[in-house]
Amino acid sequence: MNTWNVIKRPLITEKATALKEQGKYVFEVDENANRSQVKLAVELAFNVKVDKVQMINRPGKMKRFGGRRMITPTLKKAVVSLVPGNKIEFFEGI
Amino acid sequence: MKVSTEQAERRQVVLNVEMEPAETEKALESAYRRLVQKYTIPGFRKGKTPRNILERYVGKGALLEDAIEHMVPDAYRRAIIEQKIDPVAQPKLELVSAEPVRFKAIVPLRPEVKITDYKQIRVEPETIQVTEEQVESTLDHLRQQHAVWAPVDRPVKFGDMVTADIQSSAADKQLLNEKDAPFRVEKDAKGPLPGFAEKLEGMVKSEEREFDLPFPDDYPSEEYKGKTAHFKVKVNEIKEQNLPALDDAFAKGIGAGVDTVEALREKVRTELKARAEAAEQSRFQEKSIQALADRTQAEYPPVMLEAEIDRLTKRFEEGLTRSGQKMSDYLKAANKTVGQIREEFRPAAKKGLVRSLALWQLSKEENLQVVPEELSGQVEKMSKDAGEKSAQLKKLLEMPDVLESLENEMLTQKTIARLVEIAKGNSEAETTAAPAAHQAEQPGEAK
Repeated sequence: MNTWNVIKRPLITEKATALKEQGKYVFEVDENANRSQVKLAVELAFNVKVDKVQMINRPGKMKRFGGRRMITPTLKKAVVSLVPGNKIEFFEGI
Repeated sequence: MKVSTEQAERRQVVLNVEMEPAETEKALESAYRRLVQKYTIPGFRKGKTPRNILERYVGKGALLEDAIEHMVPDAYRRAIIEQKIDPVAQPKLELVSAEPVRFKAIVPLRPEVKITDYKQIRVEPETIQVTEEQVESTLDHLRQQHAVWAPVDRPVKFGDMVTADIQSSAADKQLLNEKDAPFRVEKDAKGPLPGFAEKLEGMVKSEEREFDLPFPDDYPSEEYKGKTAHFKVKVNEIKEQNLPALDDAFAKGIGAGVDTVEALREKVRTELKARAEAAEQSRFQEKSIQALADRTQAEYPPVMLEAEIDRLTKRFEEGLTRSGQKMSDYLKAANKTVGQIREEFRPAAKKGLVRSLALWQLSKEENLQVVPEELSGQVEKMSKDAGEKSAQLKKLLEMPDVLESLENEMLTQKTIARLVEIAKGNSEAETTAAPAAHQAEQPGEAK
C-alpha cells in the first residue's frame, strides 16, 4: 500500500463538521492502514503537522435483500488531530 | 434599498430598485433557513446542514433565487410606500441583475378620467305612444295563442297545421326521417328548406308526394351548398286554425284577471305602455351614458383593459357552457385561438371600460355615495324577496366581497340615475337611488 493510497476520501458529515471546530479532521482510510501511515499521509498531502490519530473500525454487516445476502463494505475511519495552529485548507471551502 | 422612479406612458410608473448587499445577505440567510428544511444531504440530518455545505450542494444560484423570490415582493411593498405610489393592480416585476440584486417594477396607476362639461349633456326624450294597431295586433296574437286546431278534410292551405311523415336525403345522406311530425304550413317558411311549405300546398289527406328542393346559398353547412335535397312527404292529418272570437268569454277564459273585452283591451294597452316606457327609459339611459362616455377622456394602464377583456372572455365562455358547449370545441369549430377571441373583444372592452370609468368619475364629481343604511336596506330587501331561502341569501350577501360588489352596483345605479336627471335638464334636482332602473335594464324580457 502506497502512502498516496492510504486516504480514500474525507468524510463530510454532521459529526465531522462539528469536530472541525476542535482541529480534528475525519477521513475514510484504507482497511489495512495504521496510525503512523495515516499521519504520514495527511502531513504529506496537506502540508500540516499532525498531533495524533484515532481510528475507528466499522466492520461490514450482513444485509439481506429478499433472499440474497450480502456484506456491506468494511469502513475504517481516522480522526486526525492537528497540532494547534494548523488547518487543512481543503476542508475550509465546504 | 435604492429606489428611483421613471414615468412611463399610459398611467404607469417604472420603479428601479437596487438592494443593498446587507439586505441581500439577510434574504440569503432566511432563504438558507427555508431550504435547509427541504434538502436531505448525505451525512447530515434534515435541517442540520451548515450553510456552506448546503450552498455547495444546491448551488448558490438556487439560494439566491429563493432569496430574491421572497425579497422582491417585500422590497416592492416598501418602495411604493416610500415613493407614495398608489397602485391599482399587481405590478409587472422584472429582475434586471442578480448581483447586486436590481429589479424593475412596472406599476399600474389609478386611471385619470376627465369629463368635460357633463352638465351640458342633454338627451332628447322620445314620446311614448301606444297605437290602436299595436293593441289590436297584441289581441290578435293572444287569439292565435288560444286558437283551437280542428281536423279538416280538404286540401292543404297556408295557415294549416299538418301532421306528416317526412323523409329527406341529400348527397346520399339521410337528413330527416320523422313520423307524424307536426308542420305549420306558412308562406315563405324557411324550414326545413325554403319552398317546402309551398310544395305541401294543395295536398290532401293520405297523399304522398316526392319532390326536390335546392339548398339556399346561405345554408349554414358548407357541405350541401349548391346541392338539392330529395323529399318524400306523406300527409296524415290536416288541421285548420279556429281563432276564438274576441268576446267577453274569451277575455275571461285567458286568465288575465279581466271579465270583459273592454277591460282586456285596457289591460293590454297599459301593459304595452309600461313596456314602451321601460324601453324608453333604458334607451334614454343608454344614450346618456354614451353621451357621457363621448365627453370622457380616460387614460388607464393597459392591465385594466386586459382585465376587462378577461372578464368579457370569461363571460362568453360561461355563456357557451350554459348552452352546453365547451370553449375548446367552439374554438375548434370557429377555427380560432383564444388570443383571437380576446382580440375580438378588445374594442368592446375598451368601450365598456371607458363607460365604467366615466361613471365612476361622475360619481366622484357629483359626490355620490352609498351610505351603510342604504346598503343594509338593500340586503334586507333582497333577502326578503327570496322567500324561504332568505336567511341563506342574507348570509351570502353579507360576505365582504359580495357586499362590496353590491355596493358598487348600487353606486353605479345611483350615478346613472343622476346622469339621467342631468340629461333631462334638471341637474340640480336631488336624486334618489333608483332600483327601478335595475328592472328597466332588460325590457325585452318583460312579458
